[in-house]
Amino acid sequence: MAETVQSRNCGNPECDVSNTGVCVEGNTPAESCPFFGQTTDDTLQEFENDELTESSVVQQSLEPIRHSLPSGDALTPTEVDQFLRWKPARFVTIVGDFNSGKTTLICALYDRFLRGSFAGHLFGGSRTLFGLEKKSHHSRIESGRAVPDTLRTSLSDGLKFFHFSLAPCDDLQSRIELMLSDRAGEQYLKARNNSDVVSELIELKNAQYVVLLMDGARITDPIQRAGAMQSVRQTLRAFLDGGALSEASRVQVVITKIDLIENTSDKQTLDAQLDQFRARLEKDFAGRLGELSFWEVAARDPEGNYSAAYGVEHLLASWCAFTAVGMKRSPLQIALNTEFDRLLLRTPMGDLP
Amino acid sequence: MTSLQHSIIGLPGSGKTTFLAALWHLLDAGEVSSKFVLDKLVGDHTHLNMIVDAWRRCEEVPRTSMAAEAKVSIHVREVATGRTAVLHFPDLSGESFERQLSTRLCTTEYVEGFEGSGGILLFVTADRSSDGMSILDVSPLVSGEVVVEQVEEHREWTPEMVSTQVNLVELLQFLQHFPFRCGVRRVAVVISAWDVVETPSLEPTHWLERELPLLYQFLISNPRSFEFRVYGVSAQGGDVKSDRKSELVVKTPSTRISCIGPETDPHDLTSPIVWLMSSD
Repeated sequence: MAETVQSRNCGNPECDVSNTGVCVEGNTPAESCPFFGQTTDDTLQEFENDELTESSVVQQSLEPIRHSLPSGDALTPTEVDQFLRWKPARFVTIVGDFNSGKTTLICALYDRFLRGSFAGHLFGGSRTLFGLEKKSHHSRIESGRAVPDTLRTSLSDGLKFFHFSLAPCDDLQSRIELMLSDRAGEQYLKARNNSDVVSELIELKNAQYVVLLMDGARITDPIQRAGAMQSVRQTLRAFLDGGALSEASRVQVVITKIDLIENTSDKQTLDAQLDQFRARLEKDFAGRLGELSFWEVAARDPEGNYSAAYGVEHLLASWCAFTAVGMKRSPLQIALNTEFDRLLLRTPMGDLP
Repeated sequence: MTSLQHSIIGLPGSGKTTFLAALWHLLDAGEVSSKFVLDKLVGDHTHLNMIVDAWRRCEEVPRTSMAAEAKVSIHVREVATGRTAVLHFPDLSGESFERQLSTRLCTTEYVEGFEGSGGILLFVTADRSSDGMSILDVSPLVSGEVVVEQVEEHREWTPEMVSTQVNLVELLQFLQHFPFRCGVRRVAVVISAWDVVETPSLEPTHWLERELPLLYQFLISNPRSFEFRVYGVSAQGGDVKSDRKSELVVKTPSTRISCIGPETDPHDLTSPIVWLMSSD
């Protein structure tokens, strides 16, 4: 699959990289620019008119043959399908409102592996290493920021997956290929507002775990509290009624940013309301799901009172320890109409060898 | 005679060329015992003689530029077995690895370097500042503190910002997939500038686990792709830009070299390579 880098052209007609070697967008090296190597309309015309000069042919032949390497970016659903032809993977779908901490949860997990083994597992690789780096950038010193942040996932990004290949510390031969979904919160809001959209959320149906995030920042504010809770409840209902979740689904309701809850002025009231919320959710939905559980995390406490990725360790351990929900199988009721079919009923099965 | 192509991986300033210079002197001069010796002088050694000159004078070995990349070949004989071999090492610049990471392209020549049964010398330097630090590592916020973001200070992500350990894991991950040959490769992790490590008794493997935990986890959890050992190497014997230079320059050059790790002698820089060769 060798491909020849044919030219130092740029798809941006305003960029003169072929002459100056400098990318007008400021990318260093120039090859890292997404437009690098693309042809402008002018060069396309040149190809169509078959007016390649002799010197440009010579220039092409001097360029070394280069092989493409994986991009390292977050995976699209198509790329995940390609991965699945190679290896099975375990899917965790992370759902939540805008700014509820979906991407921060993934970045916190990555950050812990950058520092060593985590939740009894070793980092064994990732197809999305540079994608994770990009998402983590706003929490790093190099970003020039004073307060850590997470690069937001926009609606136009669509559905992406971050990959972690993990090896249990006590069994280095076995592997868990974890795929964590990342999609803009606005899409999940749309699904709550319009049940037709639920069927478009392809990440839900085959997920081993669906993680519903409840924004800790919103529930500390008495004005937004009911809305934040209702958002989780309505999302769960929409997914169940829309057929995206079933008796085989495991749902984890996770309260994020619990470092903020600790300091809230009406903590007792909040705790009581959260208890009631959980009880109602269990009463109304637990019977329709394989499992419904409740968790708390502080993925990135800016004040450092909670350890980094607090609570994420237990979540990861649960994802890695996944076993399928035991389903009761009811035999198919088939009408036996012919004498040949009825012969089956008359056959004493116990006597068969 | 066996012909072995070993590969060298390392980012800029990780000590690749200094290692080659010290190795060449060690083999050529025969001042200390080593596990293999120079068998015969065959071929073009211009590059090796050029880089070893600076090393002998206790000067910083000039970094390999992308224009000056060279492939060196050394005819060696293993002392214990008498077995002879030609070792080939491409002296690639660290920038060419950075380029590979940012452009996500590699040359056919680079791919072919991993076709044979040779191993990999993976270089990291102990003389490095921390990279990839998070804001919270440096300054957790104080409760109630109002922080004003200086928007003009904000910088967009570029591939150059990726930390050493992440880049090295990515370079090794490339080898696990097409167009590279599948199979187990031996990786000798060479921690250069070992003389700056403040705890001399520290095992190189423990240094790797402490300083580059992601790389360590990756190597230990991929036994089907990589078998690895870790060596601490001081090819110069100390900081040649400091006052120690006058102390180093009077030593017999090969005795300046220090190499610690499994099955090594104090000055024997050939140990990592002997281990790579033994996989043949």
